[in-house]
Amino acid sequence: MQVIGLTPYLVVASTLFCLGVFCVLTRRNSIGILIGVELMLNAANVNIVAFSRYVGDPVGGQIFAILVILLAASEAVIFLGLLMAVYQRFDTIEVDKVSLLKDEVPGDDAHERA
Amino acid sequence: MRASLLNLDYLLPEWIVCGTILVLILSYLLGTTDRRRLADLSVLGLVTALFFSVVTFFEPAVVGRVSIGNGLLQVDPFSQLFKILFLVSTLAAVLYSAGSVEIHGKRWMEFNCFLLGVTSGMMFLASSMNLMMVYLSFEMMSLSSYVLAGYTRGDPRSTEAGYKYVLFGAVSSGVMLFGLSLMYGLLGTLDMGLMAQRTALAQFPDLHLLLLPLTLVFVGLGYKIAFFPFHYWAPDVYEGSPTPVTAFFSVGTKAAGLALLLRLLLGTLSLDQTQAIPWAGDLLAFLAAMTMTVGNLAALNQANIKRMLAYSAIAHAGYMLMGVAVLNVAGAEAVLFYLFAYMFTNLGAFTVVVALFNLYQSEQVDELTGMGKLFPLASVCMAICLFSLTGLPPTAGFIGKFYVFAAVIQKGYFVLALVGAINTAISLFYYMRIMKAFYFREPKAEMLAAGPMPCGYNVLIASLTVPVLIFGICWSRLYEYCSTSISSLIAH
Repeated sequence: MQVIGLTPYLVVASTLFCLGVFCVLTRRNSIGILIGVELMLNAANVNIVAFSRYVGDPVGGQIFAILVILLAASEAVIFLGLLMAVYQRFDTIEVDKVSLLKDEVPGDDAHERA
Repeated sequence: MRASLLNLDYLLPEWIVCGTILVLILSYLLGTTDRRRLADLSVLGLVTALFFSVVTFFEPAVVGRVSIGNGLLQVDPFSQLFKILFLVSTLAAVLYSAGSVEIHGKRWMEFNCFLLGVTSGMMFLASSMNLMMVYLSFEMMSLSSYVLAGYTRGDPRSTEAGYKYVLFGAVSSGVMLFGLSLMYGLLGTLDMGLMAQRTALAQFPDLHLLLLPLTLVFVGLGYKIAFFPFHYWAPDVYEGSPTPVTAFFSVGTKAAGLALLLRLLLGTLSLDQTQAIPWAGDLLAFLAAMTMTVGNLAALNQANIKRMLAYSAIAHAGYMLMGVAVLNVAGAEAVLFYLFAYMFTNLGAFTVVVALFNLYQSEQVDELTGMGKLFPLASVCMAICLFSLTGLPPTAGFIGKFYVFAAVIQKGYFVLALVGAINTAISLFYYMRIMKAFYFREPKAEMLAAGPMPCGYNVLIASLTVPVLIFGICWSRLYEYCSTSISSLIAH
């Protein structure tokens, strides 16, 4: 059986990471951004597992990977929880439309209008 | 160095904080719903943890660095000093929130648990010596703080603050994790102590490769500390969050980010090597200059006092980054001292903001006029804190700025020092705007109706302002402690 080296893993991971960043930067929908973040976290995870095999540190790297999965899940929970609250208040989950808080100069009555 | 799995007793402050969370939940379930009784419990826990952090700071074994859990954590004077800082700011936040009208009484217990959760995350972060532990404690801190920002369910602005915080926070922690994974691959270990040995022995052919992972990690940290260009979330989140939480974020999370940044730059890479990375110092100096300029200029025109202090917090992150950019021991010591001065000062200023909000439900500078007449003690303390934030003698802020500028000039970054000086002058304008409203304008008629300031707030304000003056007059002991901490951090 042919052994796959480190490089393909790194290529996949970097591609995933770039896709994640692209997704975060272009999506206006909050769920889209969450998916982008998940892509980034999983890219890091592919890296970690590949490196753990490569440097001969199977235990540390794999525990780290499992931990990352766990933390990604809890982050998603909090993200979605806050998103629910946002939807109840603002009736939208588009990032641009949630903007009560912004700079205002003295004398401007923007905060009263909001 | 004592290395063993069983040095768990050195983590006593962390255990106490975690235990306090459990005690709070249990006593709530057993029927203690009174906010004051629960506040007593958590204050008791925090003070005990603070006591043990101070005790361990002086313990000889700790000065020699104690490794815990096969190198996962390390207790040294550096970590203990930061734990003292975290615990003091949490204590202030608990006391703020105990009397705050913004946080609903029925859900105060949960609020407090989240607050203590953030604290325990920050405390573990200060001790982390393993990338896995770094990420775990970083997330422990972040996840709870997202909830805290969006805690006031009835206020859409708070919800928006929490939403913005988690949005930017999730992205930056993803970027940071990718950086950590690359660091793991390049140095072949998760253990930061081993990393230090590997980089010091120069087995590693090309340090330039480390530039990419370090930059990615810096994005995550820069977000937490609110550096330019990762600062744009801070004003919105600080304005929308409940005021006790804002005070806590502006000190605690910044300090936690700086703890990790200093440990990475000084503890994991050796100093010679950090300095050898091309452009690292110059880039940091540029970011420092931009951070304080952006913060100060934006603060000039703010009508909302919380937002103004948020921009001021960004500017102060810039001053601290100035000390980091020097990349030597003197700079790092100055940053630690500055952080302590900033903590007392900023918490003191925020106490006044919290207390006034409780009385008037107002955060607008123009509405809080004539406070000097109505609340003489609080206003005097506010004045001292604002002087200290500007950096005027005889306050701790002045000494902190003095050390930072001394380190910068010694290193030869004259332009940076000049930018810093100009920024200090700019900051005087908006701090004095608050003073003007407090002292040189008459109180509005409807303001006279509110009752006196609760005695607890007066005590809190005074006890946070007194250290500002004390450390402005006799600072040498505190500076000595900062030196001890930094020398324990430097990779040997």
